[in-house]
Amino acid sequence: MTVCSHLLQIQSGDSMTKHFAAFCCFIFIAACAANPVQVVTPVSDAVIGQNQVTDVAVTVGETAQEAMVAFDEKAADKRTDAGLDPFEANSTSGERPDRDEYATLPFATMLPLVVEDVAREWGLTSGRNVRLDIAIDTIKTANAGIAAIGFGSSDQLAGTVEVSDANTREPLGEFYVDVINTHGGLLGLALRGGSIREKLAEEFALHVSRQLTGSEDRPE
Amino acid sequence: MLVSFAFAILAASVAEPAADSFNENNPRGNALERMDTRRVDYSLSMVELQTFATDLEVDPPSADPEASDFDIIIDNAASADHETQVLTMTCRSYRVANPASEILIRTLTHLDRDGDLTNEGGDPVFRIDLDNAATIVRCVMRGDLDARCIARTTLGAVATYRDANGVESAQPIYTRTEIPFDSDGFCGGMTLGTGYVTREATIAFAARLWEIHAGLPDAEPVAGTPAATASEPGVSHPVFPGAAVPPNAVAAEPDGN
Repeated sequence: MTVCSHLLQIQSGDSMTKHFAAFCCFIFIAACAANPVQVVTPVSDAVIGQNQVTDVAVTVGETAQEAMVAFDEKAADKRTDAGLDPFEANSTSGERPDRDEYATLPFATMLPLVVEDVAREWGLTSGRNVRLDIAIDTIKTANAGIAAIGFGSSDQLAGTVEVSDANTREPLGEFYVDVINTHGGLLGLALRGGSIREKLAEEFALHVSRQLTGSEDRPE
Repeated sequence: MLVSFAFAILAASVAEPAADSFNENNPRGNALERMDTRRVDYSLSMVELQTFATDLEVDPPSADPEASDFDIIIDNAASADHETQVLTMTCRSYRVANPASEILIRTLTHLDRDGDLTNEGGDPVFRIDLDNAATIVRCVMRGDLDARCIARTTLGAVATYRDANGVESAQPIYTRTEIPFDSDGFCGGMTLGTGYVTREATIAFAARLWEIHAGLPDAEPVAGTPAATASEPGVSHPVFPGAAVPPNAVAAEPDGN
């Protein structure tokens, strides 16, 4: 805000300069005010903080299909490199994969595991069984080309989360999560490290848990 | 993306109020003027709708329902009016006023036995009490000047139905219609897209009245149409007895439960 007040106090210069300053200010405010969660229907008071995630279904919308295929191919390569058997979607073993294995799983298999893990870490281990239907609209990683010319570029994971009773399918809430991690320049890109997909999933799950607990902070 | 965002802001800031005049030679121009108002215009003709469906990269609009053999009374149609909620960062600054009651009344007037929603001409009859109307939009940038948006309109009501024998029952109705459409880098198709999807939602709502009248259970696809699924929004369309449905007509999910 201090930046904006300085920009708006520009007295000298032509009107173009002032307009540009106002525009920069708007961009700055918009960037600061961006809220990663948009609530469509608040999670029902009856289940807030008293629920456990037992079912998570992930669908990938047409707008994210192309990127998702590339991500899943990369995960399959990691699986091969790790010497693991190829992933079978209809495996009947029922064993929950180790966390170390998440990076080698297809996204639609990995995200539910991450969401369940984070929900448990947030203390959601008893109460009503809830089902989450997650529809992913966007998944992308930062563009190194854009970063190379000095602009920020971002990793993004966004989608709708519908909460319902796992047994009756009674709707209990709906919200949209839009995780955007911006990295300034090549240095920022270099500093973000690896496992971008898993980091995005963790952050997405964090926002889900915040909605399900009704708290911004993880319980002690 | 930054460049397109900057242009989008500038375009929004210089938008002029819509002109009253109508240019018959340039329906696209008229619609663009109307879009500046950020209010859905339901006065578009079927021909105009079909033109804009091409621009939006959606199927041709569904045909209006034909007159049924039942009456419809709706007392609180105005409660269908709402403002769209944009969930994504992209296009979030755009607010579109959606006077959905206008298109709901028009669709139900087509369906009503005598085309008069205030006249109870005898059984069978529906009395509709609307309790939910909302549109949410998600937009994803596919390039600097190319956005793909997905609009979803939900309509909820309790319909008190009295059949030909005078037997009365209360029927909850919930329709959820979700259709992706093409926008541009300036979020320019938001208003038209919202209007298109809302119109389809009212037709899905009308189809549900037909189903109740015909004794069909909830959430059953109408005979002769493929079932709609959540992952493939817009793959089926309601069919009204006697109604001419254009090929590849638009999709609407008969029931979202």
